Amino acid sequence: METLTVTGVTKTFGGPRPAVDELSFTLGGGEFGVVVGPSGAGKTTLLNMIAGLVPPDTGEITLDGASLAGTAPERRDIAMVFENYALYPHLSVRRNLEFPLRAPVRRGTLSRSQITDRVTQVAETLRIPHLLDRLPSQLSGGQRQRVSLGRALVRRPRLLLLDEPITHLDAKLRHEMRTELKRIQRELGVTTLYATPDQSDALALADLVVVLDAGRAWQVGTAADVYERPANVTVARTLGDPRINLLPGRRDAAGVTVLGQRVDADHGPAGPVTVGVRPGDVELSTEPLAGAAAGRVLLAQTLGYQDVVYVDVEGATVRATVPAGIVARPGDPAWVRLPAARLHVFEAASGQALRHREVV
Amino acid sequence: MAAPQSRAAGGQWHKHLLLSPPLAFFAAFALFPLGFTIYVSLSNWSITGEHRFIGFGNYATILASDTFRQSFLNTVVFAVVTVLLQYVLGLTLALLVYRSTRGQSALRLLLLVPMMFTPVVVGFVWKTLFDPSYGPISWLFDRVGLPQVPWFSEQLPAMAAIVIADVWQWTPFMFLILFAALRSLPTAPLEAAMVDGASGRRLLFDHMLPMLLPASMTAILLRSIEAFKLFDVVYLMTGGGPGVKTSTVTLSAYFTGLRSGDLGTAAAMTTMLLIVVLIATMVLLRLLFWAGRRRSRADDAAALQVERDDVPDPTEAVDAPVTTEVR
Ligand SMILES: Nc1ncnc2c1ncn2[C@@H]1O[C@H](COP(=O)(O)OP(=O)(O)OP(=O)(O)O)[C@@H](O)[C@H]1O
Ligand SMILES: [Mg+2]
Repeated sequence: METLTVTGVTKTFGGPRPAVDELSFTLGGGEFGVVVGPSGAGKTTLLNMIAGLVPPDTGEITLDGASLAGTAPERRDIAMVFENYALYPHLSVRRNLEFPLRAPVRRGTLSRSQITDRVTQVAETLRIPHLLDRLPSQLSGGQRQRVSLGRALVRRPRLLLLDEPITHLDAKLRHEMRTELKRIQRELGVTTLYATPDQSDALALADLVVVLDAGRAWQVGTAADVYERPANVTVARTLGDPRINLLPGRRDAAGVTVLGQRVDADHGPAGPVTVGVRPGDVELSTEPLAGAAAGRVLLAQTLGYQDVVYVDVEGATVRATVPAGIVARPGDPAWVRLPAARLHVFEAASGQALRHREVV
Repeated sequence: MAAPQSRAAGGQWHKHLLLSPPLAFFAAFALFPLGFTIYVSLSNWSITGEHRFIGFGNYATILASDTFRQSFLNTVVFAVVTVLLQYVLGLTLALLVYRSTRGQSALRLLLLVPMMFTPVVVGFVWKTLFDPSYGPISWLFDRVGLPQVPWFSEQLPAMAAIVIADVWQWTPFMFLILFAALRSLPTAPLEAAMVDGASGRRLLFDHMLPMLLPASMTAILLRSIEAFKLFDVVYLMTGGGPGVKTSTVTLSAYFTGLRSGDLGTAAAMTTMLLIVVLIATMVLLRLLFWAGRRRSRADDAAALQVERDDVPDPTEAVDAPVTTEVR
């Protein structure tokens, strides 16, 4: 159960801004950490620095209290699933999976039959036993990804790094693998850091979420923390699907004005604010409603179990989710009400949270 | 549909017509000399021009000749030893330059210099360097206190001198191909191997070398074909001597055909060499093909085939695959 700490880590590749900028967080022993952020956020760079493949410019990374600086990648005992699989092209799937167990640093720790058992077991978990004698070039993308995952899970590393390990799987398999991954991680009790652009991975898996964007950690906390109490607009935007509504508003001593309506929330010094409200919290009606702003339906999408309705209100687009089956056609008039208790309020200029939605 | 077919056939015919000039050149400059050489090897053609078909007589003669057998053995020894040394040295240099962080381009250029000399110059320079009385190497041996080596008057030292000269000239070729191949290796599997616990020697032997296999085979193949035809350096440095102890097949053919005027026997010698080179090439090509196929990406058709062969997971039986429902 190794604790991972990252303190003030910065890496610049020569571009105008650092790929990873003054990043700090602590991942407790045996915890599942998820780094979530869009493409180019610096996730791979962070993982590479922890694995020892890229040296950080400044800052310190420790594992189990000891600094990793100066320890070569092969001596760190960290397993990693690479974004582009990085399978050994000249070795069969079986040999790929065996390699970490046969590597020089671990030579002699496992017997031949133990290695075979481990490989068989991992292959079964990942549903690839029938592929063991193929070469990586003979596999589909999703199959390669599973082999890559297997190569990391076959040993008992001190730390497991996963760089978008399941993004190339079909939706059904992705969900199964996600559950499976969580189960394996629990069973092994291995400290795990998982990088993904998919916010639902973060919410489903994480003990600790690091919201990364443009190299900076915008918030570090539990899934509930980052979802219920986003520290800033970036975090609010990253988590939640469909995306949170971020609407321009004004705040004064009497409350907040948004969509031309006065909402009795967050009294404070006058100034522009950004109001955030999750689509599920928006009240949508096809009839006029007290305290609601009038608008027009732009588009309705169904997700099966619910519909997402896009409503144009005074030039702003508001997303609202409604139970499936409520018919909304483009052009229909609609009324939108934002309940005061459900609003997040952010300072307009800095994006810092002033007030969070009340949890019921 | 006769019309499109005849059109296609007409197109074929045109193609052949358009291809005929290069084909004629090929016939004139490659096939004719080959056929002619084989014919000469089966006759008692001499430099005076008289000739008569004598079947395999020349072949019987050379196979029974100690000189030819010695030359043939030398040719094989030279080819194997020089190509192996060139490969090992070329690979070592490529790895060193690959790892070096500074002066890479200068090193690269410098290492290619020997290849730019003509073999005649190389032979002459190395003959001078090894000269027993005034050559710098003998002087160096003397200074360091090593015994004098009779470089050109005994078989082993003479062969060593030839090998050194040839290796000096052609190692750059290996270096160039292997260095380019190293540079184009995918880095991700090597990084993965490092994270998985491989380093240094293991990384090299378990991962880099297998991934370099196709490039290695290509370089070895090209060099081997050349090495079997070794002539200039030997001719200049030892002239095949002492006696015929460092002679090669090409050298032997040259002396027999152009010096002694026995063209038939010389042609038989070169034909023998051709056959050996052909066999060696075929074996190496086989290996190359095999190495390449192991790595090549399966094309889409193959990949689809592979997908269909997948053993369905028994636990997934509940959700019948969509395809079976359609059928
Ligand atoms: N070797 C490199 N040289 C120069 N710039 C780099 C290098 N590696 C990464 N970068 C830059 O650093 C930034 C972060 O890249 P990184 O690969 O860490 O993103 P990521 O979060 O993993 O994105 P993705 O989700 O697309 O994989 C990007 O702007 C990228 O262009
Ligand atoms: Mg990445």
